[in-house]
Amino acid sequence: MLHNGILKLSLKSTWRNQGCRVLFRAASKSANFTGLIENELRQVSPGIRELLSSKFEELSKCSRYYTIAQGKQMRPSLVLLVSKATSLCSGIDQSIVGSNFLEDDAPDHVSTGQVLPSQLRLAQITEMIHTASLLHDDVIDHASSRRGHPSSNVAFGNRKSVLTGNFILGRASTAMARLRTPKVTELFATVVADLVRGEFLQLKNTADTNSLELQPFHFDYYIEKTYLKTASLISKSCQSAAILGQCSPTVIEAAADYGRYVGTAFQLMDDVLDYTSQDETLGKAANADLNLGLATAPVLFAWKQYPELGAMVINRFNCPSDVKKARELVESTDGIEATVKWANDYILKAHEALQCIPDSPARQALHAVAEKVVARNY
Amino acid sequence: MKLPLHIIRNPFLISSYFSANKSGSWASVLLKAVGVLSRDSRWHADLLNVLTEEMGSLNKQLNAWTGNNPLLDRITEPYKRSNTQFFHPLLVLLMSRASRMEGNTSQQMFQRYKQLSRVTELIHAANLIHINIREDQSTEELKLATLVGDYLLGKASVDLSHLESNAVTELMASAIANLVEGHFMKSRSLADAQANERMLLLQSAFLPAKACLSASILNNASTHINKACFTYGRFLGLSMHVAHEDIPEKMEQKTKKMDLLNDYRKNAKDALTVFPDVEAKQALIEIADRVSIA
Repeated sequence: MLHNGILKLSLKSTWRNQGCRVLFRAASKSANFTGLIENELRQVSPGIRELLSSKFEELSKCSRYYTIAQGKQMRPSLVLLVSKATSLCSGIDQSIVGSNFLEDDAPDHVSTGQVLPSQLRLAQITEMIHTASLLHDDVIDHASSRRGHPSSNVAFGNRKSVLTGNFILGRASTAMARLRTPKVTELFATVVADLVRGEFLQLKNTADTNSLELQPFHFDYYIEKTYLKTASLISKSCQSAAILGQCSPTVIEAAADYGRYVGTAFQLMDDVLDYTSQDETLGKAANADLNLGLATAPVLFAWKQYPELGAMVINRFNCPSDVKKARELVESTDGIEATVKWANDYILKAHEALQCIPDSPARQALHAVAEKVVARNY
Repeated sequence: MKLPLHIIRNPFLISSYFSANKSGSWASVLLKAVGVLSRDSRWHADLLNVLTEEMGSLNKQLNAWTGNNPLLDRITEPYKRSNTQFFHPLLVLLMSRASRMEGNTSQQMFQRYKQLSRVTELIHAANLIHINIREDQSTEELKLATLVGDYLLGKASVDLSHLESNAVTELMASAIANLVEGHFMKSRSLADAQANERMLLLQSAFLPAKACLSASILNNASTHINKACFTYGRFLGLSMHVAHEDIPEKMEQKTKKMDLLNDYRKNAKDALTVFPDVEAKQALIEIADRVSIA
């Protein structure tokens, strides 16, 4: 939990200037923001396993495969933190007339907010959708390992991976219906469609394969693919958390924006790490993107300086020497730094989006999570 | 012999209309069902055409996104050559008619029935494509098969959410899970008759049952009409599975199977007694009657 002194200082600051970000970095080192949602986070995986329970042992085993080696649980964490932060706008701790008239002789107290059961369930559903997409991704990408273990297609075969993904989707959608909130059901349905569309976009590196020159639309294509594949789920799950909390349209939109910016920055950093990390750190093979034929942001930036990358991009790094050459070219430019800067720009926007939510430990935690995204070791 | 107009326009139907095998008799039953529905409303007049067109436009979209990949045809084959193509939509539409209480229905309601029938067909198609994924396929084929099925499931999810019915979403989403459960059950050896029936239910009965029930729910029908729709769909699904399974060698087993099939068909038809609408009921009875071992 944040120490009171630091909390008061950061409550007064705005998140627009560089100075307070430095201040916040110092604070976040001592902050354990997951403490705020520790109880709820602890219920995510067991809850998911319950939702996936089945009489058929093999199916249970397959569907729980990615809930054992948990991963960072970033998506459920965001849903839970957004739930807590936005509950102060419209929850049981929000005053009706405002503190000016209450004259309560109570000590200065900052509520930490609440997480509704429906929002916890939403966090579980979000992680389930993410897991289902991982199971399909493993088949689509012909993966061999994930999170330091054999990937699902290796562990139980392609067909079972795909079908298990469908099973998880079915159970997640069933749970979604029981939230009895058609708006949220609709949002998540579009997430599923977005995830698929993103995969199709990834079949090529660009919409127009005639031009060998780097153009702005190449970046647009990449950002759209990034939105569909990564940011959509994060954005709409944060948005849904605010909807379930019965927040105002402004706050709902703020939650959606925050999720979208953090999600995009997260993917950008992931793409950076694919170039910079060694195999062990990431849990999956580094340079996986190039080997899959994908042109991510670092390559796009390097393309500006080295036109010869154009042919390699269009041909999805087909030739045996392409991957090595591309990597060398990227490393000799500032492609990686440019991508990191781009991610930082998104995080600045994420900080701004949170302005309309009352300050609180939960909101501070959201700022901290955003910062952590761009502080990943690369 | 005079051919109906929509048959002439659809080459797939022409061949099965004239063929003597089981798929031919199946097609004639479907045509009868279409006839019933056409008389019902002008929005259903060109039904099979509409369905074919809709599936065609999905195919076109997939071609656009994959650059006309030749593997697409091979991947969608399990669905295209299945003799249950368009079965679910027609069943849903007949059920919508049978479970309807008042006389006239708005265009909006017809749109909802159509949406539900589309959801059902998409789930059915996606499942067929995904369960036909084989481990020995090339990386590219695996990738496309996964993506095509996912595309159909994504569309189903969106269409389902547009119906804005929590009950229908719950039912159809659970049907997706049932299909997978049924498939995983397949790998076990099933001596026990009850377990075997459970497997048939999961694989073939719950999707039509839940789709029929969903149609009834959209009509705000009474509990016993809802139950009748579910029961009919359930037994019809069971009978279709048994009829399309491989024919057993031994006479004794074949007789057993015939008995089972007749039992399922009778149960399906019995469920129909509560429906007031004569024409829809008649079409549903005929459908049940036509399900037979080749």
